[in-house]
Amino acid sequence: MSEAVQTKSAFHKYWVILSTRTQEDMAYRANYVFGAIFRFLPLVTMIFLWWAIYAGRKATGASPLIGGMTYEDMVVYNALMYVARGFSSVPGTMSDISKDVKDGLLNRYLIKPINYLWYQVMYRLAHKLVFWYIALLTFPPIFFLMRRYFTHWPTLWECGAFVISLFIAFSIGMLFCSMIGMLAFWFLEISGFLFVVMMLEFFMSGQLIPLNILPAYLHQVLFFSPFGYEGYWPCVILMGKVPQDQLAQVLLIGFGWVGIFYGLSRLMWSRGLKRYSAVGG
Amino acid sequence: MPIIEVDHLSKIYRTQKRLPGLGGAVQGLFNREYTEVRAVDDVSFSIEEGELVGFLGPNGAGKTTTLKMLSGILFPTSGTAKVMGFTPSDRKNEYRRQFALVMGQKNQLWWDLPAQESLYLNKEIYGVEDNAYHKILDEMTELLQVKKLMGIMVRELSLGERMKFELIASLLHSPRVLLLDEPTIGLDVVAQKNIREFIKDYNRRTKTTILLTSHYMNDIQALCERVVVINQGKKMFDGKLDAVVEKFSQSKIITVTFKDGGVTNEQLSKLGQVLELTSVKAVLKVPREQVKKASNEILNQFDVDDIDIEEVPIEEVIEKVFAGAEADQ
Repeated sequence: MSEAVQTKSAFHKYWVILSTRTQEDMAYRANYVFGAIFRFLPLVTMIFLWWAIYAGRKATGASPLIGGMTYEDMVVYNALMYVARGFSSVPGTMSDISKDVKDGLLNRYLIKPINYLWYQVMYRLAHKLVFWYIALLTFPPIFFLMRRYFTHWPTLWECGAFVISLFIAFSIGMLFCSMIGMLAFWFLEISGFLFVVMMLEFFMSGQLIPLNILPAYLHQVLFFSPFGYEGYWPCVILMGKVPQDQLAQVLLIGFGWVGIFYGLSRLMWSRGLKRYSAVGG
Repeated sequence: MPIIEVDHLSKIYRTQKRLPGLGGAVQGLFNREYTEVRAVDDVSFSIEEGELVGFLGPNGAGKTTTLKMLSGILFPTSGTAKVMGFTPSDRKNEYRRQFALVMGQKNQLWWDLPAQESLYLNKEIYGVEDNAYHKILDEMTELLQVKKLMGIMVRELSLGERMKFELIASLLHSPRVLLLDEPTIGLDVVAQKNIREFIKDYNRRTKTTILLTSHYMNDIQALCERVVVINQGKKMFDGKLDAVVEKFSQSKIITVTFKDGGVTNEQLSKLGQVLELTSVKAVLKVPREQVKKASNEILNQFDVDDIDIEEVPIEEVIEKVFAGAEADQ
């Protein structure tokens, strides 16, 4: 086979993995529909919670802004978080990879002319495709109902940066989960550790509260952390909270993390596989 | 030149030794002791292109470990394995496109889709041309009688049907070397027979080199002329299946039917080991070199209606080999 044909067929093979997995996922579309609707329930709670907090501040005569965000901003932030997480969360990746390693299911990929990590990426991407296929039906009506909270109309720059940040969100989410899953090469049982990691990720990605309302020193640290790209950054970029001259810097740091995580996961894979091939399989 | 060459191949696993109980577990945290398990111990053999060789041994003998080393999943601790000139553990795509490993207990089919989707996926992974794919698929689904099942969810297929699709999925890229690990495990007798016949026919038609492991004697007897017997990681025998009996069984079985009764155990036990004795029939196990003498004496001493001399059943011989006995006396 010529090089060009080989490259084409290599792409094609991953494309087929993606489309096959999409078909399989479609078997569970009812599950996705329920998920896409009911995942918004916590949002109602968050709206009430922030409403109470802002009302409390108003009563004491304190500033109506928290970390530079109005009550409306806070509601929009929480709503946009669902969009960001729709890219950065890759459910099942950690546990599937660690299970493949522990139970020796990896063998069936190792004997085929295929790259396991790219296989995983395609597998998860298919999940995202089906998720968004359903979400495009359920998200707009909900956002429409919330239209009075959306006070900022994003610029073209912000929209562009938002799209790029979503790509970074998926890449970091995917790579991070893969790396944690690959710890199974070295440790038999990691579920306790997983719990801690997921709690930290939940906090550091700004899912609980926006990172910019944290104390300055913590905010400074988290500004450079990779986890903000899994939630915080896409939200605040679209909300116009990042000055235009900082957009490039934020995205560049994000790409930097993608590069670092990519390198690390490749390293873990090759080291882990050596160990796997030596001790078990 | 042999297509598979295994030279002084060994695989040693290091496992942590744990003392019993909670105390042992705690102690294990601080002071670890390891034991070495020689899963494969200095095994050598070579296989020519087109051969169908049986790899026979009890559970834990090292069969699967050897196959894993041949397919590049495991690195050998020492020794070398070469398949089609490749070192399997390099995991070159060129190598991976030319062999297949089918494990009876693990499946590669996607559970929530019809089998045809998994087959198509494999076609793409291996880069099989459209024409070749359709030809092979038609042929195999016909032979294995699963053509009508192509569109049914894999989760709804029986174990036997799934195994057939597993085989098809692994053969789409026409591998030159096929490694089969317990392909009939868990199947009913009919399904076992179907799979067996298919494998035999496939080997005959395509001249694909096949190395098959099984702990079912029936599989090996039906398929393989040559066997490699392995136990506790060590190679015990390599050669024609019939020769196993000659090598490991130094006895033959003599079955005698008498015209009239009255033959006693005492009379017979001088000639050999009495396995069975009724008023008209006796079964004796006699050392190979004394068979001639014993049968003469039986014919002279008793009123014999019929006498039959046979080899010890192969299952029994293999069982002895597995049990670790060098030979039965």
